[in-house]
Amino acid sequence: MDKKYQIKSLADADVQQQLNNASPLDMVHTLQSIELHNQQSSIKVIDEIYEEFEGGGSTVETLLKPLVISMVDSGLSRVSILQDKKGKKSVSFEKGTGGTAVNDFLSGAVIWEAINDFSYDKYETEQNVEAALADRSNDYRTENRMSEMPGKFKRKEYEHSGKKSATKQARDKVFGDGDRVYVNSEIEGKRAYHQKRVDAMGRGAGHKQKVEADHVVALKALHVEFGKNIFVDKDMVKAAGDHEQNIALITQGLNNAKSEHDIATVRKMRQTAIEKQQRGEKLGSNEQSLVDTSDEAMDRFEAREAKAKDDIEAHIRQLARDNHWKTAGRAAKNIGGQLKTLSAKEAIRMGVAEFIKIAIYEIKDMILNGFKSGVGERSLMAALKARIRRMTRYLKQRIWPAIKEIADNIIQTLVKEFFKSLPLFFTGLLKKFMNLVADGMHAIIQAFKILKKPSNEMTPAQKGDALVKVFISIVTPFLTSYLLQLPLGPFEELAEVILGSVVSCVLIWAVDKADLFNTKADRRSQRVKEVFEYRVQQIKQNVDVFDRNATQTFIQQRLAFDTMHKQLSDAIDANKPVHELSTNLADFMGAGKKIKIRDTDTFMELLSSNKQLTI
Amino acid sequence: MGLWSSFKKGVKSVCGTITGKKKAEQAKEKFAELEREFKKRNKAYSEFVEFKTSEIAKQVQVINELKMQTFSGAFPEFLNVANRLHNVSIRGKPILDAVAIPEKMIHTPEAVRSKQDILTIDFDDLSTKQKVVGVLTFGISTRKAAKESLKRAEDEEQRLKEEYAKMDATQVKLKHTLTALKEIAHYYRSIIELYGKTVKRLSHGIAAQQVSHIAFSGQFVGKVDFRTLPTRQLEDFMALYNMTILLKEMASRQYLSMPTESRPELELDKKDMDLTELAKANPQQFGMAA
Repeated sequence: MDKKYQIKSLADADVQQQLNNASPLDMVHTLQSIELHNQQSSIKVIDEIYEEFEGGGSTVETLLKPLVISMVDSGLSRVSILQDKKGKKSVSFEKGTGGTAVNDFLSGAVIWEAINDFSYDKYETEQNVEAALADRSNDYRTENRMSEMPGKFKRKEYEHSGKKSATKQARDKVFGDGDRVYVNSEIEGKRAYHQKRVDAMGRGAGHKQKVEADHVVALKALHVEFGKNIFVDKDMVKAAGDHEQNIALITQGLNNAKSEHDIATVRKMRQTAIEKQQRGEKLGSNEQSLVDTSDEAMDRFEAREAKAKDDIEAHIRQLARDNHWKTAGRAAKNIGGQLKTLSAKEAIRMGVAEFIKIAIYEIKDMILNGFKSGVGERSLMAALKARIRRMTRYLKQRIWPAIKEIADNIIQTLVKEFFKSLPLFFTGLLKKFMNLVADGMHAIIQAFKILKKPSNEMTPAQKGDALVKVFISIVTPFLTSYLLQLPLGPFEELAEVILGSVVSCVLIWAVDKADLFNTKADRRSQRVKEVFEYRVQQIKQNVDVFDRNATQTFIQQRLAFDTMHKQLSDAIDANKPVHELSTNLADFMGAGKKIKIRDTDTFMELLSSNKQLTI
Repeated sequence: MGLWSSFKKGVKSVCGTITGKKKAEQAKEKFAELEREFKKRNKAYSEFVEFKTSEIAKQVQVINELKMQTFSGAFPEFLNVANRLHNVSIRGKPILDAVAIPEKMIHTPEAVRSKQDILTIDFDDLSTKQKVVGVLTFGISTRKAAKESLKRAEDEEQRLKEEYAKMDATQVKLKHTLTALKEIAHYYRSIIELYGKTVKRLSHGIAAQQVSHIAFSGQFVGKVDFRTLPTRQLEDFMALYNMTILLKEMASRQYLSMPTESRPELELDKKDMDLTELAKANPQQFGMAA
């Protein structure tokens, strides 16, 4: 049973234990604290079940899913243009990104899964960007596919100049317009001086330690890392590179030595310089600066770099996400590029698979969220437009690049297929007719099967509903063959399957929506019965456990008490001691904790030591 | 029956099937049946609850009286005897139980929902829109609505079963609550009785002691020295001391209302209840021989 309809069941042993632990005086409270049923209102429960059936969830599962699977599995497999040499259908979907991968087996189940996995949001935003960002090793830019480097680094493209320069701003922030001449450089922790300024006492003049503000992670390094990523453009790198976390105050000497390198390289360079010094060789000025830098400074530098890298990465990811629309087109172009290697047949297969996916997705969305509200439109026409618009946009980005890349190839294939199928065209007509007869027979057999089902499995209304749907499955081929008057050559079969499926999908959806026999009410009643039978059963069982154990406890307590009572009463009459019996009685009644005096010696002590005894 | 009338009846019955009128009537009948059934059950339930509630109130009253009695009868008797041995007083006063039964304990049944909620179509009162749509769809719309009504009525029946089960649960709980209170009253009464008997036994014991003391020393002493007390009397004194603690505990417990709902501690009289003074001032009232 669904969690929301559950009623906690009382275990016999638990109730027994709870009551056994209760003293006679606690009984009312203990009985009250045992819940026989939760406080959930039955009206709320029934309302929730009704709501379950208001949504299209069951329609999608019971109607759309089998339809799609059978369409793909039996329909598309018959279409020659979608079969490769091995007779396999060969398209699959990349999970998560909404993209299409080629050369895998295509089945109805795979498509259905892809439809469920798909959403425009997912496709258009994060998933794509994240996947591309995660995979830096891939060269996404088609124009640079063959080269290792992402084009030549031009500093100007990544850095603001003049007043907007981040490094200049950082320096100005420290020194301002005043007469401050030195600052502790962040990396080395050394006193470092303004390049041109000298104060009244002459400090700063000719001093070796000039300070500079510069990027921790060099812009060139960012260019190498992100420049080739399709979802990242130069403006994003520019913004992220100038992020304040990436600007540090550093002495001129170290900055020159560091240049565009990262910390790992700088450490190596420093090691080499130190070794050189130990050998007594003469050092260059950069090498000298490195040798002069302390180990602590290097550690600080490393920490600073790690932090800057994290910040830049986060910043760029954010920018990439925010600008996904700008980059989506580029992604599509890239896929087109990848598809250069595809054969025409493969491209067509991919296109068909994508088309089916997106079309069924729209139908599913209509059923689940409503035709209009699914796209947040008020009028039917606006909703239709919105739906077509987003479908076209998707297909344009997904399929068009592929088709464009290999247009020649496709045309050749189509022409070839057309001539190949021409002689078959006339025999095809006969075949089609035979198919219809076969379908008709099939439908009639189905109908008999439905009618023969016993009434406890299917209500008359459900039978009627199923018959209507069988009837539709006979009608649609006729309908689609009317719609397809043009001989489309190799496309005819394909168009027939797709159109046929879409038409029957829509018809069945409409029939289901209309729910002529109100089978929804049947299924809903079934569910209502199921839920309440469970709940009633549960409550009755709990009441039973409660009743039985409570009664038993009362009897036990009464017996125990009566025995004690008789013992005490007899002892009083027979002039026998009662002090132990009365202590036992207090224990039994649950007041044992308050009884401190348990023998006469202690009592005597109590009397002797207290002049006044207060109870 | 004439041919014409049977023909008319036949047509009517076919029409009833096509438009769904038959089903709508079934739904109506079902709905009426549900209402009848609920009314019947709910009446029995309310009566039961009312009866048990008043019984519970009575028992609470009984327990409250026992609480009072403990302090007005049993304790003064004991103090009267005990003070011949030692200076003894009892602090506090009885805390009475509120009669109110916790609301959570009694399930409030959710009645059959309104006619509009269940019956989506009424052929005796069709709106113009229903008529027009019904004709245009060859009765499909009305038939559908009729079926919907019937199913809703059937669903309501299922829901009511839960209500009845919950009513039963409340009844069982009330039944056992009453039993528990009756048991408490019984235990209470018995303990007071035993207490009284023990007080008497101790009283006789001390009197005998006093008589022998006077005979021996020739003078009357206010208090009997507990150190010279025979073991049996000392044991009885101790038994009564402990039973007083038990009875006091019983008199300050809240049996029906949950501890959280009990009245605030503030109302408790913290002052010593020195009943010895009271008993001396008005011995008759406390049933003591002067």
